[in-house]
Amino acid sequence: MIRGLPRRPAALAGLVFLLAEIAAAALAPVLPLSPALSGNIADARRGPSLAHWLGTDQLGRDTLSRLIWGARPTLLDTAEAVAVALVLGIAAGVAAGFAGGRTDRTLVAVSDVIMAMPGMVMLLVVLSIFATHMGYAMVALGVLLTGPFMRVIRGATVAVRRELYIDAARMAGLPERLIMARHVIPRIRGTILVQGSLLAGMALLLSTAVAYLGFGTQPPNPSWGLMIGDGAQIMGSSPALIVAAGGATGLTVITLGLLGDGLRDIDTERWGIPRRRPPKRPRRPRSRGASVTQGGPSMGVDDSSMPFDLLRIEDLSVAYGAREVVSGVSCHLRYGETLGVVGESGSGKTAIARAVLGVLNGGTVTGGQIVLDGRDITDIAGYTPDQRASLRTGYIAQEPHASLDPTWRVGSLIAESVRRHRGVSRAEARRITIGLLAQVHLRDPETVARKHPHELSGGMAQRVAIARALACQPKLLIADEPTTALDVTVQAAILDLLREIQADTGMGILLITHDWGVVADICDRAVVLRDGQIAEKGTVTELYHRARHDYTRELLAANPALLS
Amino acid sequence: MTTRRMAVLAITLLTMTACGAGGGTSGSSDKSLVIGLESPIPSLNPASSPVSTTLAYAYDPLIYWTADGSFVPDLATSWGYVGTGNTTFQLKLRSGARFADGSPLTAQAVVNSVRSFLKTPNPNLAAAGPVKSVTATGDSTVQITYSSAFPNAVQSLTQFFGAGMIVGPKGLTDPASLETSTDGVGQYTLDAADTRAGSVYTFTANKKYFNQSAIQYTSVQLRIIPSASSRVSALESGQVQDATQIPIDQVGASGTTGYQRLGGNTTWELLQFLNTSSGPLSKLAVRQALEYAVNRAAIVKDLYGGYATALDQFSPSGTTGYDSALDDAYGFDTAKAKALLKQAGYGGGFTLKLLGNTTTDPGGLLAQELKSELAAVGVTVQLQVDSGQMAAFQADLGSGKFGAALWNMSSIDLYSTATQTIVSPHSLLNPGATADAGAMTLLRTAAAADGSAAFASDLRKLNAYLTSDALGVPICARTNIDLVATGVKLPAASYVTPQANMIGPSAQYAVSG
Amino acid sequence: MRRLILRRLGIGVVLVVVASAVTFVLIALVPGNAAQTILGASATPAQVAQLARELGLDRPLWAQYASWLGHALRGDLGTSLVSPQPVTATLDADLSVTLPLTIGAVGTSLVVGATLGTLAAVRGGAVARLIDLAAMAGLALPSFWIGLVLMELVAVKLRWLPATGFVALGASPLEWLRSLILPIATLAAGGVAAVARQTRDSVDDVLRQEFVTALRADGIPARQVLLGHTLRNAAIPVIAVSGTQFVAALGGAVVIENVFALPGLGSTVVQAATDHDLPLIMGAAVYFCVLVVIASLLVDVAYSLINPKVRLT
Repeated sequence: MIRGLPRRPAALAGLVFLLAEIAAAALAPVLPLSPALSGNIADARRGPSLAHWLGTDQLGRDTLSRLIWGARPTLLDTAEAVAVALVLGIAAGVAAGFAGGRTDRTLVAVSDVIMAMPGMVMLLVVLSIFATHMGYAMVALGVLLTGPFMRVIRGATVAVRRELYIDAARMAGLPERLIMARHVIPRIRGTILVQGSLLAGMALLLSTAVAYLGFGTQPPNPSWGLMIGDGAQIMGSSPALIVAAGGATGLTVITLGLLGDGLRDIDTERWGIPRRRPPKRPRRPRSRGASVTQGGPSMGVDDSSMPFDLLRIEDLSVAYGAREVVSGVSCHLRYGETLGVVGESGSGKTAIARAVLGVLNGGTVTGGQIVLDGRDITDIAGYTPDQRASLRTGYIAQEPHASLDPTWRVGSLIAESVRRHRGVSRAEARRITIGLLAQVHLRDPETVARKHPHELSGGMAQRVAIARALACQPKLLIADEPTTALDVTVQAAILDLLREIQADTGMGILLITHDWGVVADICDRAVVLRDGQIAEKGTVTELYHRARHDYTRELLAANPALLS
Repeated sequence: MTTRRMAVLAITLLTMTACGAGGGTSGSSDKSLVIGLESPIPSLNPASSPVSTTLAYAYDPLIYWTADGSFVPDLATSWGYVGTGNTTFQLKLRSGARFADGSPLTAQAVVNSVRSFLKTPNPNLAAAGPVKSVTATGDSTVQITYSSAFPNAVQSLTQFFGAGMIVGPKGLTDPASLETSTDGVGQYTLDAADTRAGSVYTFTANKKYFNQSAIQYTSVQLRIIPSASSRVSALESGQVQDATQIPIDQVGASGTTGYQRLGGNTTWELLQFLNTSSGPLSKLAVRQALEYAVNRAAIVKDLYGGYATALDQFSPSGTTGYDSALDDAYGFDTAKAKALLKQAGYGGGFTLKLLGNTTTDPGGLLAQELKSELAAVGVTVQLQVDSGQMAAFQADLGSGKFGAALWNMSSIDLYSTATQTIVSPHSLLNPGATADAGAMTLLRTAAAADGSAAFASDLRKLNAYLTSDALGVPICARTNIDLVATGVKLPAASYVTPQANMIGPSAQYAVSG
Repeated sequence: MRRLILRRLGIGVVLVVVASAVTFVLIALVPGNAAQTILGASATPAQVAQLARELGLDRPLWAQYASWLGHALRGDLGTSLVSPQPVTATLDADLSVTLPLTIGAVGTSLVVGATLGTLAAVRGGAVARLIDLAAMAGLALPSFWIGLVLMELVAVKLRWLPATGFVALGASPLEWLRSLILPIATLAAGGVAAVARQTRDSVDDVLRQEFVTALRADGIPARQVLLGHTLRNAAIPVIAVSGTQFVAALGGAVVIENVFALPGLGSTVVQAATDHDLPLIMGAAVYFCVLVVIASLLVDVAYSLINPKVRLT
């Protein structure tokens, strides 16, 4: 994990600073520091100078020296509190998250009690008992901080527990404790580190506050909290002390935070999807006015693009940063036609849809042209909302629930779009909304309109999404895997619906899919994508019966049900 | 549109801040004084409050004690012991004085008030002495009898110890009401509307007071500001005109040089030996060696910035028992100290466990300084500085772990000092409960002394005894410092007035300006 | 909704009892007692013992606690041992200081923090980095440090606002507000930073959601997307966090009240702890607990209102 740090300068700097601080504090007795406990009153209240790098306090004592000596009790107290919180929090959190049931409920209840207790009150009471023995107070602080920390650990553990490989280990008969130690804790290491660093920051701030109030380390021994108090007294004439003491505390907390963030990022990378290296391939020469298809044997019959196409994509290239996901793709969609864009995941098909919509989050069109209804919309990503609205493009996403704002009632969502595109009154928009919901064959549209997305089934939600897409009376409907997330039985119904609407309105449909069954069901023509390039194109019939390209054949073979 | 909203908001804020800028709420002809106090006032009832002088605004005492040590008539016009032995004391009351609600000050009212005081638990009970009975012997004469000789009757009835602060009949019947209203014969009364317990107490001038010329302000306001730097900030921003109890290290900061400082020593530091019956400290030579080891001049200059005076005896100048012959009884002489130690058989030094606390020694600086000075003669000090938690300090004192404790005294005479702290077997600073026979004899003699001259002479003898026997090491006498705005004149301070007299029977005794 | 409230209140009662018991045990471990404080340093041990007996401080622990609990359940929190005030009177007066301070701080945190966080998420670039930096400073610097510096700059040097003290609302609304501005600003500093961060993350998250893409693709105006959709969704985790903000503010108030000499719950607790004023400390613990329970309840209700998925009928 440490190896990942050099790539993160902020976290690395943080770690170095913290280590230097700890080292200085530990080595204070042997470092050549000015005396921390006594000073020359004649030198009092000086600013930074060669003799005193951070100045002096009201008794002439060297601030830098006192900061370093003061770091000892300050950091020690913090470490104590954090240690207690870590041990208790990890033990309780993992046990609760992993075991579930009564153990979980009990532990959560205990943490509820801890979190409801007035922390500062308790701390003050403990401190009034053990006024100069900060150790006990820091244990109390650790216990108090355990509450929220344990909950986060528990949450992370629950998430990990659900993952498949834990179940596998369980089935293999490994004892629970082993599972927890070997699998769960390493997996949540990132969370522990991040929360731990946050905890350390909090503990540091709390113990400094307590020191400022006069508990804990007693003068003349220095601690950062006491030094802030001292600094406040002479701030008017000599701000160096309060700046130095506050700065030391603040910097430490910041570096703890940076370190935690950095470690969390590294950990996420380790466990998440590894970054893919951009594939190196020779750039293909782009040809102009492409009516000639690329990449594969031509199918011949009438797939050339015409001026009266609804949508014409010519030689389009899309890249996400340095990675090119679409290279020189050309295809066209005629009015009233359904074009399927087929490929496996990663083939670039979704990128094409998003390029046409102008919602490539993070990607850019690096070459080629998109023409919609005779209008060049290659720059659509920069269009204003008004310009976009004027294009009247409808969009249906794969996950129906994801594409609808969960906090809005679905009727309001549709009405919003209706008002946007048709400029009608609220009442009229409402009427139209009900009509649209009826058009997508939703029974009892008034009731449905009042529901929130999560209250609807997948199929109903997708119908709602379609209804909203229809609000703008679209010329082009882009459907990105509209049935993938739905039950098989519902899929057919949705596709029927799309076909029906197309018949009614004459809109064109650009359908993204990996499913040949869908292609067969609804598409007139299709293009096959592989690695961002067109592997094959033609009418559906042609593709099925005259599949020449190996790739297409592979895809077809992967869908045995279709060979009928 | 957003910019305009922001502009409106900004203008509103500026107007609000401009409206109240400069603090202070006085009108054109009013004269008010705002004082910043450090500690809260637990109770406004003189019978339960540990700091009775704070209540002097509303409750005049029977006898007023001035900073220079003289006793001035207040609610009582004459007084004295009856007979010999200091067991019977009598007072004659002022005529024509009235309580805040108009009822007259009578002997019976005084008797009731004193009796009520003696029945209520508070830290000043001990100072009231062993009272046997309080009776009204006439319309305006009161007699107090003590069960044993008590020479401090006069002192005990002044504004410092609560017993003499007379509460009117209305307040006595309903003590709870005394937290929100005052019922005394006083220059001011509490303005409940402008008072908030624990934070702000406002006193307005009492038109019914018998001596209107003594009242200097239309209103006096006390503000509780626990943090010293916040108190100074309040002073610098004009919110208060007197910031009390400012630690030495804040005085002289350039931001505060425009302000006066209250001078005059009011308290003295003592390194008290806790157990002189065994161990190195049981040897006189050892104790005296430590006397020689302390560099009082350096402490005065470096630690207290000159706001202190070196002290070698147990009763500093300004207190009864002071003897100028005892000045420089010891002195700073490390060679002599080492020689004495060697003579006692501790040539190699020894370890002394010293207990300090930050209430009387802010920052533990004095304790730290003593540690290094004693180290120079071979005595290794193991230092523990307790925070301001009295209970912990008291517990540590009584634990028997420590050989010496650092404390400060603020009594006006050696008798009070000795009975309440050092010498008495029951006192806190004598956890070993050892009673030094010689000291106790001298103390008893002083108790029965006939007249103040004899009393003073007896105390001087006690002082000489304690000093030569070195039952502790007096270090220096110093003052608590108030920072005051220019134009405000504070009355003098002395051992009599550890908490400064802010008001008095005539202008010379009061704060003014 | 009613079930949620009832359940919460039930848990609240249990919490208060448990917390008070724990506090009681802790205090009981303290050496010394209130009798010593009342009588001062010069009292004899006999006198202290006598007073302790009178105050009932010599009974066994469980008996003292049981007696306290019995009274407390009837609403009687006793009288302070050190000053003859009923505990409830003192604490109620304290609430009129601490509540405006805490609620003001949390409110400021939410409003200012959410605004800054949204700005950072939407604008990105230099604005976001600046806000990030300010948030880091707000979170990392101790709150009392910020308070001390503000006091010096604003109250002492510029004299715009009073340095210390509290003016009751009834006495002068303007002065009341002025006396609270600096303390609220100080207490809110950390909260603003935390809320800004949370909001920024939250808005970032929401902006990546599919429904936002769908709205943008549909040509819904940017402001409508932000105000009508993004913020509503982003608010959900922020509301969830505001409960902890309140608890943190209550804790921070203790130190801030000391710096600005505000007579609130925090000051009372500090003094009561010093004096070993048992009834007052217990009363304060109860008040704190109750405040926390009420705040959590309100947050839960607000959360369920704003998040339709959690809405309970």
